[in-house]
Amino acid sequence: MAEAGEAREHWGSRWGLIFAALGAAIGTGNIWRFPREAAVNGGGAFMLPWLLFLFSFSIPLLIAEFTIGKNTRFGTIGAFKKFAGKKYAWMGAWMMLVNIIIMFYYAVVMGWVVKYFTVAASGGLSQGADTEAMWKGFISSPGQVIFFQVMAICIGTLVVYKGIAKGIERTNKILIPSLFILLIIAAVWALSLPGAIDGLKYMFIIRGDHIVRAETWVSALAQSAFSTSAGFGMAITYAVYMRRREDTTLNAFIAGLGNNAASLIAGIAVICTVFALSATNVEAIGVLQDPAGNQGLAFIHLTKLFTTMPGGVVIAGIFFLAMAFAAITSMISGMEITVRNFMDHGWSRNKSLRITATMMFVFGLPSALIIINGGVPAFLINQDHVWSLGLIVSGLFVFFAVWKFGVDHFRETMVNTEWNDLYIGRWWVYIMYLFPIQFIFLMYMFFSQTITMHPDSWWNPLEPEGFMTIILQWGIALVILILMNGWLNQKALIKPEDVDEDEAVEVQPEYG
Amino acid sequence: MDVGNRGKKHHIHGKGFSIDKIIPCLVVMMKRGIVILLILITVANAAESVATPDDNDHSNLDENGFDEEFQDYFTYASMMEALNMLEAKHPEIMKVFDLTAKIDENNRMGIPASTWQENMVLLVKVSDGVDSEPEYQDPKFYSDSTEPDIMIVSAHHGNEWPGFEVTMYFLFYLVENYGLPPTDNDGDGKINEDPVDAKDNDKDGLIDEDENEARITWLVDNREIWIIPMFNPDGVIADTRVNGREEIPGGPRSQPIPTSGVDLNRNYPYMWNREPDPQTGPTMDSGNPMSSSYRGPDDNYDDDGDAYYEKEYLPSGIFKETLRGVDEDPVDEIDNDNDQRTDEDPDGGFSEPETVSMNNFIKGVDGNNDDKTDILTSISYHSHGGMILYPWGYTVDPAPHDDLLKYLATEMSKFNGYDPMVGTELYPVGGELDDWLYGKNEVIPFTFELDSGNHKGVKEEIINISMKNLPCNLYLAEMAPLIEIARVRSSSDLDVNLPMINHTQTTKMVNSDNTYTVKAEIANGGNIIKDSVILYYRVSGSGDWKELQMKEIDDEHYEVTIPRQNGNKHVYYYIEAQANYKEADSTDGTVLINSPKYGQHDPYSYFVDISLGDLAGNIAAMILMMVLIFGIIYTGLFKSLKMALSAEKRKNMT
Repeated sequence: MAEAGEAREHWGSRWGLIFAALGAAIGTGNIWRFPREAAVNGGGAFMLPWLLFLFSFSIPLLIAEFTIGKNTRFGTIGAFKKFAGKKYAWMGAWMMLVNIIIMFYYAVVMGWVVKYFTVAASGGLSQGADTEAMWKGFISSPGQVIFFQVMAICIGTLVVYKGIAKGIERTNKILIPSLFILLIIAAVWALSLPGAIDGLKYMFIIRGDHIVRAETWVSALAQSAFSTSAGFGMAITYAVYMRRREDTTLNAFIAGLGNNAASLIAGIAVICTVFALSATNVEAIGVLQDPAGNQGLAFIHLTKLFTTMPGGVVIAGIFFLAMAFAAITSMISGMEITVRNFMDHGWSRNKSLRITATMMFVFGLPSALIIINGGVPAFLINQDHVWSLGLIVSGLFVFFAVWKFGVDHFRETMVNTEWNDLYIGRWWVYIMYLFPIQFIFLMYMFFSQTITMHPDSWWNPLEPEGFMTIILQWGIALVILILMNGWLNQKALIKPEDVDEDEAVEVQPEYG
Repeated sequence: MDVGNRGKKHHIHGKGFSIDKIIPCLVVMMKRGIVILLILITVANAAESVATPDDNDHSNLDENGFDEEFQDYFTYASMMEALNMLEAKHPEIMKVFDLTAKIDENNRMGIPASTWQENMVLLVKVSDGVDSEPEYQDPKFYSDSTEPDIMIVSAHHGNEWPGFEVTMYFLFYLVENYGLPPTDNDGDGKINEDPVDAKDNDKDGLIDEDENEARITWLVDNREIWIIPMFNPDGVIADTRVNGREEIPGGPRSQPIPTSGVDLNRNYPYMWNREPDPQTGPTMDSGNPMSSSYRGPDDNYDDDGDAYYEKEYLPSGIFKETLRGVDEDPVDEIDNDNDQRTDEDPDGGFSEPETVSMNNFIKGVDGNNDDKTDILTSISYHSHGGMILYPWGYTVDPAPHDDLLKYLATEMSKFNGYDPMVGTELYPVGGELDDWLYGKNEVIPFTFELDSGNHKGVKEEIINISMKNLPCNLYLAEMAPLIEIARVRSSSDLDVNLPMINHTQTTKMVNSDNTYTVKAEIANGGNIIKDSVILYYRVSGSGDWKELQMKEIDDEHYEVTIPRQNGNKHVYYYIEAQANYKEADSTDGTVLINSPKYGQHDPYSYFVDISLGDLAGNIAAMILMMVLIFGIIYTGLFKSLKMALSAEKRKNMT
């Protein structure tokens, strides 16, 4: 086997892992989803539960994932097989499936962002431009969309091809600090605009009527869950490349807190820009509440607002560059999750990557091409609706694995190792037992919202944001994966266990 | 070592041809290609943004929605059809009357209750609420004495067709634009940027293509506009200048001689069949029934009941009786028979159903029962020549209101480019409509000779001529109350001493925490009734106008504060005041002035924005939350990073 002689890859340094984990966590959702959610759900009334769920949901889950990955030294399928037992390999496959399906459309989204960066950078945003027509024109031209989708996949492929240390680590080490700097520039610029104070007020003051609403709490939980990459399998996968003496717990905290730190800056940049440059507060709130959602905010409203100020076009360029950086660092983590599983199957990184990239292109095409009503990417919206929620199910599987092992036992024997920088107390156990409650709360609220928002069509699988489309797609995936469980156990993992020897780590020369 | 490393690399990439080589190749290609691609994209994006379509193409512009009705001349039948259609569509602002049906058939002259050829003279009233007005009560048409009245009439001469087109166009324009919100009529993204005034206000090469709809609504709401589109239907049908009068043997009023018909614009009993004036020469009207300017038959009736036979013994011994006292005092402002009564026994005129109808109508529009018509001003459309004629028609002596007439004619000539002139300058006439309206009814009348080149013109020019004269109709309707004041004062000055409300909005937006103060300055405020300065306001989403009395600060300055409103609302307001004009004794003595000019139809507005809380109270809450959230996340992050840093140091040392 050609791979047998291949030396195992490792992170060049701890900081490489941290930046990579941050890069995975910080995605477009931090920049265009968080500000909207915070603004719409009551400002400070959203912030408090959002902060709470970081510690009660995201970080505990990240700790579990890092620990599982570091101990099993397998991608998600192998990790579940080895850790939860042969019966449950399909859970790891579900994790990988959710992740790769998200990557199918994520590449399309990143293509949009790259397109808008090129437009801003080439001076294509003129004052008074009809940004709605521009957006609809762009998204309805298949050639352009596919061109930029392919470009996004190529960039991701290039990075992942170069491997963990030289590709993923090096890229994140450059892009994540740059991303923070770009976001800070955009935020400072926004704060310098007259009227920015209204944005801060709207973002931070607790709007009392929201704090008692279940919608606020479910939105905060969903934002925390989607945003930190918890449940994605990222932490499992990146932990595979950890050295034995690597920490897992403190790194989980840094990834979670760093993600939210980026969200705050992006929130200030976006919300203050919207309030300062909108003619009225009513218009600003309307922009943030636009049912056209994230894409409407970024590609129509913010783009429009940027053009109203001299210097705004420069900030537009910075904004879309930051978005592109956030997208690429998240996309490469998603690709690596799939690639790792293929590599566990015994394929080379090249072959795994080739197959992953091809799948992303082919299966991303419906998201790129199915545009209804002259500018609504219906298929993409449907996939986002169905599979981002799938992450929460993945999280439940991680909890299941830990629970099966014994939560406190897991904490004592696997989490708290001699290499950990942060001792995890019994609080973690209690919080993990809260996980199913949070899961049920989120699912119940999400499904009932889905039904009440589409009272006439929630049962219709063709309703892109309906209830039945989730059940149908999840059901098909679960049935197939459970039926495949035997095959997954026998065939999916042919990586010789001996490659996993940590001694190999020690002889591995340092990169750089 | 170098060599070894190289060897290792080759080993990784494998030996010989393999499909795995594609990716490394792609990588190299991409590295170079991406730079080129980025340049290409940049250029493509730039080109795309330059090539935005220019939307100044108005070539297929449909000026008014009803323009298709004006592709060819109306006939009497199609005019009636159009009037019925419009009345059914806009019953609340438009009412059609049959004027001829109001003729009392038991008249001594045998005039039928229709035209001679059994057609109708139709009158249209355009004003708000006509459907709820009292019905016609012989001899009165309902007229609101607070709304100034104007009349537009056309086709006194049946062969002069462009006139009724211009009039019908005006009618369509009024009723079809009434009540519309401010509309971008020409689809150029701008609203009301080029009102109907024959000027290209927005310099786009098109004239009057985007009127302010509020002006029309305001006019219909505040005026009574009376329109007689086809005064001489018999003539229009037969395509003759004269009406349909024929010899009707044995009829109640049979003519001893055949006639071609009567020139209706010579059939008004004012300076009818006058002795030629040495200064003007003979008037352009004829006693010859076969003439196209036949003024109608002599009256031969003793209107004042003083007839007697003068007995005379001729030298030949014959006893001769001569009828005296019949038609002995024609309508000429002179007591011809020295009986201390003037014009009490006319010698002719009003022999036709059409002119009798006109008389009934003018006399019947008298809302305040002062025995004077409410009609203040009028236009009678004729063709052709491109002239605006004003009294007198029978003499070169200037009319008492010569200044005012000349002023208004000159103002209107700025719209259509016609020559303003006194009627006699064209040619002297007797028994003409305008002289009768002015001389007997104090109406300030105008006769337009349209510039159609000949009596008919060409149908392709209908819309053009109609649009050209539309602003004249609108102007006259708008100026009607001022015309009245000027008329009573015998002044040509329409502007001086008219109070004006000046108001400038300081801001168009207010926070929902705040009230909104409106200040107004009233220039020439001497005639303002002090407690009549009212601000009306309305909040979007509610239909009611609420009123607030404005407080007087000094003679010229008024102020009022509109209370606080909920956020995300538009507030509309306008200011109204009454000016005292006791001299204008035919009205109730006051004139309503508005700011903006069209009052509630074109109000000022401001937006009430949602308040994010007052600064002092909420800034503290905001800062507290920011400190809390930022504090937890960033303190946590930096502490974790510090821990990691020291842990790495420790691990590296071990």
